[in-house]
Amino acid sequence: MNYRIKMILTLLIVGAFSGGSLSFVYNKMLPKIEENLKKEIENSLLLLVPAASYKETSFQGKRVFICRGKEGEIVGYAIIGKGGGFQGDISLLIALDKQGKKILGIDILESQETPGLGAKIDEPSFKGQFKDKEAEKLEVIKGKIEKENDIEAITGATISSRAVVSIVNNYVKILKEFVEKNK
Amino acid sequence: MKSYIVFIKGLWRENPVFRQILGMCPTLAVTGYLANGIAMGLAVVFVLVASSTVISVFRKLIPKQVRMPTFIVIIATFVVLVDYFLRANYPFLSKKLGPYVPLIVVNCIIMGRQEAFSSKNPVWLSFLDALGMGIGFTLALIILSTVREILGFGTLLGHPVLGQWFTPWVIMALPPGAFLSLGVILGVINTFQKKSTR
Repeated sequence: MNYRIKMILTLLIVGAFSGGSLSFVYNKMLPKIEENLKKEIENSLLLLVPAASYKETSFQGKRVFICRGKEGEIVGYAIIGKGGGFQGDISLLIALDKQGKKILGIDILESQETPGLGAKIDEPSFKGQFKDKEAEKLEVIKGKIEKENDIEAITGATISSRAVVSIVNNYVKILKEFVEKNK
Repeated sequence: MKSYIVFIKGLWRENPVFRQILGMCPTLAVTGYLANGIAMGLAVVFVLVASSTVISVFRKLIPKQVRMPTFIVIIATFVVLVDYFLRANYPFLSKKLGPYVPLIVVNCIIMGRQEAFSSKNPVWLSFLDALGMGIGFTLALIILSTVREILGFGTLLGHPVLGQWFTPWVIMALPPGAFLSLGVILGVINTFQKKSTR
């Protein structure tokens, strides 16, 4: 009987000690971790919609930002979009102009795409294509683009390219609804 | 003299990657860039040294029947610590290493050293053993990721080292490149080893 009690006690003590110390460290680190995330989003926002202030709200459970200039006038909107990629989720920031008609740009916040191939979604040659596109349904094209709403897929990473475009399509729709409501 | 041997054996003679072929998951997965390899190596050094020392201190108190779960909990605690630390202070690295930091928990080098060494040996020797193995692992990752970054991207630590003429071998940046380069390196080492033992 004695060894059973000893077994249980050992695991209990180790578990309690580990849980306790981790929650202590987590609470210490949490503000910094959150700050890093916030900073990353802010950097992306500044890049896409240069504005004086960003106000975050929630719309249909998504994180939406209203971007205002110096005099408080609205200069654009942004939304954080999420969806499945080739490996794991891709999360990106999409910005629309103040009429909700034009895409100001997109930026990748988090992704686990293949280095050297799918990871190129974060390169200007790919994500730059979204800039100044009409906020309508975009399509992925292999090879030369012909139409106004075409996005050229990355060679060897069609799935990643498609994933990004479908996230953009989904979330542009949501953000446009938000802009309509906010007018 | 003995403690010296305990430390040095992990570096080469019993190198966890090249001689024991342990810890293949991070070895193959994160060695696309040298910076990732170094970061992963250092994370493993910390977790290995910390858990080996702690387990060695309490080795006489842990009942045999529950030693595995106890070891895992202790290892996992240190791994999560590293994960938090990276996320708070080096968000860029943490993003690049992705899920491979939490996966150190199941890295068999760490569990292996607890079973084979620190659960049976005094604290000082366990510390040296863990340090040697950890550095050996880091060295292996550095060798592998140097080869892969140069051939796969033409860069080293992000700086271009090969000129414009060089077309990066995309395959070296991808998982198959990890298998290819590890296989070639192992082959070279084995050839050397055979010659020297003859």
